[in-house]
Amino acid sequence: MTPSLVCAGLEVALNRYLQLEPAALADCERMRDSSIELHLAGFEWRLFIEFDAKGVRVGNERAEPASVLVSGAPRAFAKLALKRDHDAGLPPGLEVSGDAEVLQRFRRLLGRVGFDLEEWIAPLIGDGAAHRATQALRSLLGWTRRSGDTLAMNTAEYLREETRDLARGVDASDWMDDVDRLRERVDRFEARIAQLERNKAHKQ
Amino acid sequence: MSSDRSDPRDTTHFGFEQVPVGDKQRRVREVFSSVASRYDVMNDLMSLGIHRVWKRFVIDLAGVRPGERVLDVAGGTGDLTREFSKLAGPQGQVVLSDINAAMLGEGRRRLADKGIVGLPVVQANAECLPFADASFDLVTIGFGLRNVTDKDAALRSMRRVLKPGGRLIVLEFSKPLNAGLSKIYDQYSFKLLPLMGKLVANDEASYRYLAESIRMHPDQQTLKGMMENAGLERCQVYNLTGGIVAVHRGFNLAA
Ligand SMILES: C[S@@+](CC[C@H](N)C(=O)[O-])C[C@H]1O[C@@H](n2cnc3c(N)ncnc32)[C@H](O)[C@@H]1O
Repeated sequence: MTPSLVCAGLEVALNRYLQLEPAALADCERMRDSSIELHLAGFEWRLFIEFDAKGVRVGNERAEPASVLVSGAPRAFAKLALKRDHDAGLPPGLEVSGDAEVLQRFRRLLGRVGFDLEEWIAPLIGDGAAHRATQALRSLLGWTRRSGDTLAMNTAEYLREETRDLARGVDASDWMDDVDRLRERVDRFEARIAQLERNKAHKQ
Repeated sequence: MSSDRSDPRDTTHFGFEQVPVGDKQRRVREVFSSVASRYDVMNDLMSLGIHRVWKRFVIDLAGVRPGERVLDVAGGTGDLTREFSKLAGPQGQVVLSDINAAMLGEGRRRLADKGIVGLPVVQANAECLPFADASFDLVTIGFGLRNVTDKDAALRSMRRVLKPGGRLIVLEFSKPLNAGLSKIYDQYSFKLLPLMGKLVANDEASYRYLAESIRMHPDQQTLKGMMENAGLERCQVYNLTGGIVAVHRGFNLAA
């Protein structure tokens, strides 16, 4: 199944573009009874795109089949967005079944707001693609703090990083006092844990 | 619903304890009144700062547009409210609501510190929201649902106030997807968290409650089912940080 974060990423990205143009949203509203299924062969990802006055919704499942199904390798999708209206031919390698008109309207919509599907699809091409896609998405949208396992990040390190971030804020000094106090307590706390561990080791 | 709230035999969970239904609300209130002023610091400490990333995801997914009406339920100190109000702009309206007056007071103060004033602040129980049907484009509840006694009632009430096409977003602790992570996380939340609560806020019990309430909260699929039962459609789960937290979104499509 398509990772839901991938759906969220495509949806957020598409809506950012669509919402820049009231006319594009009006098109989405007109397409509210239509839907598109994108099937990315190789990944077995299925993305369902639905339309309403606010833009699009992208999900990874749908009770009924979509109005049109487009299937192919990621590479083939890259060329789907139309740069020019008269350039209506489908990129090679894509299979379409169902209402092709819905797909054409969607392509015109993407072209009109300048959404570059190619850029979006690039991480999906080549080795380790699925993983790279999710990573690229997260960092693109700022859904990750930094690399590495954040849970395992030690507290002191986190606080240091946090103070840097916060130094830019208006209420930094208040916060820093809090953080300083916290840090002292955390240090003491760590010392205490270390001591408990030593005691425990002794007893065993 | 026919359940009689005043029947002392009806119990619900408060963390891992069983307590009379009427008691839970009072005890939840005590927990949050007691942590209100240290709440943000603890929030950072509790989640090692990741809660900011989780909230960022919710804000992106919500995609609030100028002119929209937004309700932040159990909004506490107003993190989400603040961002939504920037996005909704002067034509829109964001309402901060919470059951707890102390949290709301803290929220109002924090918003004012950031230059956000004049935003409606409403003390309200998520189970019976005092707003007209179909009055919001977006309703959010961030780390609040697990504290609510009757979650089904809360979901119905939040759906009721959504306009047709409107969306509900629930941000809540959930069930880690992987057993290894689950174990580390247990150690963290049952041992370290209450200890930190004790050291930082001098309030071990409140933080123990928080850890326990997280564990009692319905898992991803259960909550998704509850949302569907409440009449929400196109419900989708987004797991973050390995499922430690999940975002659920559903739409009120019936026009
Ligand atoms: C952990 S805080 C979350 C605050 C904020 N949304 C955030 O993400 O930082 C949980 C909040 O839920 C509120 N709460 C608990 N039970 C509630 C209920 N039945 N209705 C509304 N709010 C409730 C508490 O008062 C508290 O402020």
